[in-house]
Amino acid sequence: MAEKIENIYYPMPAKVTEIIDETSTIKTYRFQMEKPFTFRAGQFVQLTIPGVGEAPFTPSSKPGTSPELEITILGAGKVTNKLHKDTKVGDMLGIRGPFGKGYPMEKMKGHEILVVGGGVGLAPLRAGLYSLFENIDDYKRVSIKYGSKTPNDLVFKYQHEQWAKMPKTDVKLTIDKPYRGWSGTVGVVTVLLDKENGFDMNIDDCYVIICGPEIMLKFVTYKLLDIGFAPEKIYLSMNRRMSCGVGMCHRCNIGPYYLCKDGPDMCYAKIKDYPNVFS
Amino acid sequence: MKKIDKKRLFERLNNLIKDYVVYAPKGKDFGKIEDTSEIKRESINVRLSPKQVFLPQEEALFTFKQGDIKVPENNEKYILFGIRPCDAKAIALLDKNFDTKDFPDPYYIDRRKNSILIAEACIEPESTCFCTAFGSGPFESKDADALIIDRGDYYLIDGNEKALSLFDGLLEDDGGEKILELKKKAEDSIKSPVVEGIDKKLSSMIDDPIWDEVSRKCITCGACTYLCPTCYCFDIQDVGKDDKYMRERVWDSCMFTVYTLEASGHNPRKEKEKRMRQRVMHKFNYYPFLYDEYGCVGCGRCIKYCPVNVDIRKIITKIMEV
Repeated sequence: MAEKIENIYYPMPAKVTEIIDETSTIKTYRFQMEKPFTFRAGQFVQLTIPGVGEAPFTPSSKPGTSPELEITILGAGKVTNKLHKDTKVGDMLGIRGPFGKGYPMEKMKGHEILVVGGGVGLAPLRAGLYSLFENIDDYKRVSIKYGSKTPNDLVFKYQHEQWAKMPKTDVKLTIDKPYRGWSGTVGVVTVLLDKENGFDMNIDDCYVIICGPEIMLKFVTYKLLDIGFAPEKIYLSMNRRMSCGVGMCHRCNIGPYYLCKDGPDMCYAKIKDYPNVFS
Repeated sequence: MKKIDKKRLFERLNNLIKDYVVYAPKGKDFGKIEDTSEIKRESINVRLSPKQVFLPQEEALFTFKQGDIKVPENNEKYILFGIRPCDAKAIALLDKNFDTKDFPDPYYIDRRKNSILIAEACIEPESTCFCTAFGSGPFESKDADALIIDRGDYYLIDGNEKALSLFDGLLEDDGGEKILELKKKAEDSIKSPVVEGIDKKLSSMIDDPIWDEVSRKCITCGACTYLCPTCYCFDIQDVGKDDKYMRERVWDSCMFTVYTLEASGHNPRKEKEKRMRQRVMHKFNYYPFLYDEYGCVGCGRCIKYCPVNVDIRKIITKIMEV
């Protein structure tokens, strides 16, 4: 057995330096880390609110090494609601990680990349986008399909235009229901995978990374399979309940795999025959 | 094999309590003892298993006070006396989960590496025992540091240097005593279900109606998982206030609805048949996939203490019959 080992449960102090209101329920927190922090796109961290607990999030900032880190968070549970309600600039929180494997950036090189986001699910994908844009020459093209409930629920609105201007990149948005003042596409995000709405990816040469609510992951996956995507090309960002982050507490398993250790971005082909993927 | 006088062994153990934290059967449960006079078994295999020594039901991972994080120090040495061979095997299985290459668990490992496991052979196994289903047996010694066999006034003992050195000066020649018959009698008394091939079989039974059938009477109390010596699911929680709190690790159970409940309301294992399937699949399909061993040791605790008589042996048999 190992003699002296690092304590994996110990959070690194992280100071809140900025809070950006993305929507009425989603905020982006910028942290100054005690020491430079390194992560790959899609890897996640456990964020500590002292005395309240931990919750897992995939950073939405640029991957690599930096003393700064951003996490975009929807207020939904005990930890996140407390965060939205009480956390102020200057507060000291804690972060441990990074955990998981992240997006298969290497495997995706040389191919077309389809990025499908739903609601706050665009947050983890933004880290992936930063990585893609940084090495855009390595990829044939990047197509972003993003949907939310209403125009007011779209995150990173201030960046969409900038992304659309990136070489070989296009951005398509949709909202669930018609909304006053909205002239764009209407319907859940799967409609952006219809030819009528301009879907023109080369299916045989395209990798997909998807993040959003589970119901959205399910229907996007079924739609992709329906239009001819192979399960091997579909990566789902499955951010379920996790405690330890390292494949020990067993909470996030799908079959013998752990979303924390083997994911959270799982190849659909790997998990599709195990229980509790979409049901 | 050696022979050791019982009275002298207990005297020695009493002396060792000064340097070691000694755990032993204490009537109903397995627990910490201050004196060997407390050692007592209400049944062949006591209710609470020795996993509590290495994975306590609650433990502080650290305490936080005005900006300072303190990790509790632990320099204790442990003797686990009189665990059963099945429990020793269960600890070997827990090692696989907590002593991993990439993320070893410091708390578990600190306790585990300073421990000596002394298992006691089961001369008269219980009616709920089925350790022989998993290639183990009532006299199995390989997962413990020593195995003792009760012979009335004395024990027969065999083990590694670490364990035998505790009893320096007390070990006598066994006089060529044979235990084969005793061992065979104990093994023959155990009625184990056939499990061969259950892992492969389960892979094709994900959508089988059997999960609904076998979980119908389950009240999802989680007793099976808390008492199971190989179950290790846990949660991490904060207790206290923001300027002074303790981060605790606590046992959790895959049989609880809230175990996988997400903040969004989504729950991948909301229905109890899905949770039963998870428990059975984990032990008999995922464990073999990951470690080439079943995640059950056949101790029978889940059978004995289930308030509604769910019997894992019957579930195994049903699966094998499908």
